[in-house]
Amino acid sequence: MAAEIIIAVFVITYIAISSEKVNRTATALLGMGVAGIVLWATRQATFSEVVDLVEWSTILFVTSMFIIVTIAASSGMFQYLALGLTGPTQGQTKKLFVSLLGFVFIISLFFDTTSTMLIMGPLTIELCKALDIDFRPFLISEAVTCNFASISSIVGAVPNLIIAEKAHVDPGFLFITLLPLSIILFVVSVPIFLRVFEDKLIPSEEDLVSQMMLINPQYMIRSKSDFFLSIIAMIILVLGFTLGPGLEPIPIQPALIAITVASALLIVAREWVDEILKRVNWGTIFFLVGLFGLVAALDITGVIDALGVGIGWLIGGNVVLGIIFMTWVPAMLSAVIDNIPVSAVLAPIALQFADVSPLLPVALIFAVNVGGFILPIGSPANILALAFAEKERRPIQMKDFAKVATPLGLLMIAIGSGWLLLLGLFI
Amino acid sequence: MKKIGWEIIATLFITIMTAVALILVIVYQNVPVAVLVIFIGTYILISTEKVNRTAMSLLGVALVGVILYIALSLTIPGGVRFVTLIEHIEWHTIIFIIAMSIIVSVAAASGIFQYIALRIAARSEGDHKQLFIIFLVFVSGISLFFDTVSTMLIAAPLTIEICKALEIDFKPFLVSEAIVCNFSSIPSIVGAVPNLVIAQHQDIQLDAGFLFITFMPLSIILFLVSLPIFLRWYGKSFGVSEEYRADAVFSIDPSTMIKDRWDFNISAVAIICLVVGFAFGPSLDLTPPMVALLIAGFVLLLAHERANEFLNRVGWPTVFFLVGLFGLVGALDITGLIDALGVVISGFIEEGSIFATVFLIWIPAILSAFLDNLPVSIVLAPIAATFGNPLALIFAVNIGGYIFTPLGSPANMVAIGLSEEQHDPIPFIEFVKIGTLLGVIHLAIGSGYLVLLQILFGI
Repeated sequence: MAAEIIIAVFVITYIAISSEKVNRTATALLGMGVAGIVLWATRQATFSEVVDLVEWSTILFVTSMFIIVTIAASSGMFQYLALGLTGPTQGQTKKLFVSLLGFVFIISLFFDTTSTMLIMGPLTIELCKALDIDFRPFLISEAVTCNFASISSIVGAVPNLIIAEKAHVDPGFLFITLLPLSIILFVVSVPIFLRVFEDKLIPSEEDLVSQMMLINPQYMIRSKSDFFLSIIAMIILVLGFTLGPGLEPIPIQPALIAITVASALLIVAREWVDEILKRVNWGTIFFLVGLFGLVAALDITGVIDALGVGIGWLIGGNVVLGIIFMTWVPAMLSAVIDNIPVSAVLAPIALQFADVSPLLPVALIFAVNVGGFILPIGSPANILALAFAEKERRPIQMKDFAKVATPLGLLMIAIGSGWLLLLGLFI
Repeated sequence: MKKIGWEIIATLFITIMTAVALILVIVYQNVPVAVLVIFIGTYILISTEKVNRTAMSLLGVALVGVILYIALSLTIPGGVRFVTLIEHIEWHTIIFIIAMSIIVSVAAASGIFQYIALRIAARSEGDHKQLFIIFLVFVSGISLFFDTVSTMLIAAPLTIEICKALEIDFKPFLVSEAIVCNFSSIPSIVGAVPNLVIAQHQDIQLDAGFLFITFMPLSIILFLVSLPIFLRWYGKSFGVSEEYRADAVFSIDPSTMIKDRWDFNISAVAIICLVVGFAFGPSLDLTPPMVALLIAGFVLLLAHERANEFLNRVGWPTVFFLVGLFGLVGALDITGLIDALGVVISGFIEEGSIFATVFLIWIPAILSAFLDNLPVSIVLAPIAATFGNPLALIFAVNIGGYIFTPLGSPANMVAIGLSEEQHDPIPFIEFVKIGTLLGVIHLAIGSGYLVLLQILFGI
């Protein structure tokens, strides 16, 4: 009985959020509260058990990354990088577009998708505004790219972390098997983006371009000391994220690295800590808290276990069937549901099938990342992109996002399952 | 980044502290002492008030995480993964604080508190003594439903406004309100964050109704005892405002204070639900955090596009200060230091004895006088659980909040901070004098009361 009601609460909350008529954060928190009431009324669990099951280390990780990115952004570091990077494009819109996507592709490997969008979103908007071009095609393509580009890196996305941790995926194996795939996907997607947004990516006026190109990137640095601190922090983060998870015998958790760097930066910034904390996007963080709370309720009522048993029965011991299943089903699920809870739900199941083929957990990682952009609500990075556009009062409609991303996502899933099946012949 | 001096000193201090802790772990393989070094070092740095306390407590928990991680990878007993450390943080309490801040910030924006204050203050008709008593009763009433910081955030700005309009010195009002809001919270599980932390501790699970019944009489006694003392202390500064001033203030129609009808009605309903939920929920196992989260979710939902604005107004620095603090205490717990402290204490007190009760009142009270009462509660709650007297601890940390120094409770700091904003600061020593006088009297009365309960009912 409790399970059915919780599923109903979950579905209603999701529909309400997807309708975009209500505040996302408030709805998710309310959903968590209602789930708490249901569990209380049916005597399944106390509220504190629900709260304990929320993935707090992920929440702290995301919060720390928000803090770091806020400090780095206010130092002018990203503006500096962006100007340095886009200088060679000479203001040609299409070249700019491709070089920005390339930049996103690379930093996606080191930062989770949310951080990537946090870095790239404001920067892209500023650049586009300076050149007087529509930033929306840029944001949509960046959101899509940052999702699929992170598949090969264990810290590239929060779902990767969750799955790798639960299903014991080797970071090196993940990198070797999926990096070629992500490059293929990039090469395929860029021409498609250029075609779809052809009429939006018009060249900007000469004088705007020349004005912008005259700016010395050095002028973008607002505070020298903050700038250098941010660079050091970024280097530590990249090193930590690259080497940390591979450490023997116990890997360092990215959350620990992130919180150490964030709090050290805050100490140095002592006078405006309150200001920095105010700028963190609490709406998104509490949206995640509410979401995790709802998934915890599903877990408590046994819905997730039931799902695992069902899938186990479907796959049996067949590798081909397993790969196809582990790509298409999680991808479709991540399209509708946030990909973090999907990963949390499916990771134990992937572990169960790692004996059948080590490719199955890898397939799951691939699927949840690509599935994240089939619909805009699938990944927090997309939601961030939408939120940035909204803040600039030029909102991206969900259906505009879906028009581009949905076909592309389906195409990528098809390519990916082909790639994994091919690998399956050799491994 | 402006004044370089302190950053460098703090960084040096942190580096030395980390180095000592690392040596302790790697060379001596002593994890508990290493954790203790970080804990004490963090605390010292926070008390200097030269570094940001939020940043420092988060850094403290990060360093402890690193220590425990190193211990784990060197297979020294006591090491745990960072996730485990995070799981030791009392997220339940954190959620409660966040939910309450959301509700208070929405309600404050609607003008509901101004409305209520103007309503009740009008009864005084400009007599300062009357007004003083009315405000104190108001504060002790809302203390039962809001934690001390929220109480002061609600009451202090109103007090200042009305006092300024009537040309009265607001400092006596603020000092007395801060003291009253501290001791009036003892009967209520949601009245102060330490109460919630102690009552919800897994080994205590104190019943909210029981707490209310045992402590309500005590809190009324304390109020009745304190009132004459306050009036004597501040009596000479009270008079009667000129009639035209009083008329000018009290002829304002309270309903003009309402900034937005819709918000006002929502806030009123939310507060009523909150009060009902807190009053009846606990006996049905509906925990306060769940009630608060539900109502906060509703209020945010109705605020719609302003929801993110309200979220931004939550006191995030305080919230993350607590996250860090809970993490540090969690580490003390993981490494067995809290158990060890319990063993030491049990060496010289006997479980359930009268001496144990008195001990558990005076020691935590004196500790909370110098340290913030929240960490004191977090550390001592497991120990109080062992000796079966959480009531004494709840009483002690609340009273300890204003004895000797105002540093003990954040509510006092709110009062002082607001008076500074008005360029009419409450002198520290002023607070110390009246706070210590009343605190000692309250502790004496409370010890008598609790010992009496123990003898009569064996509680």
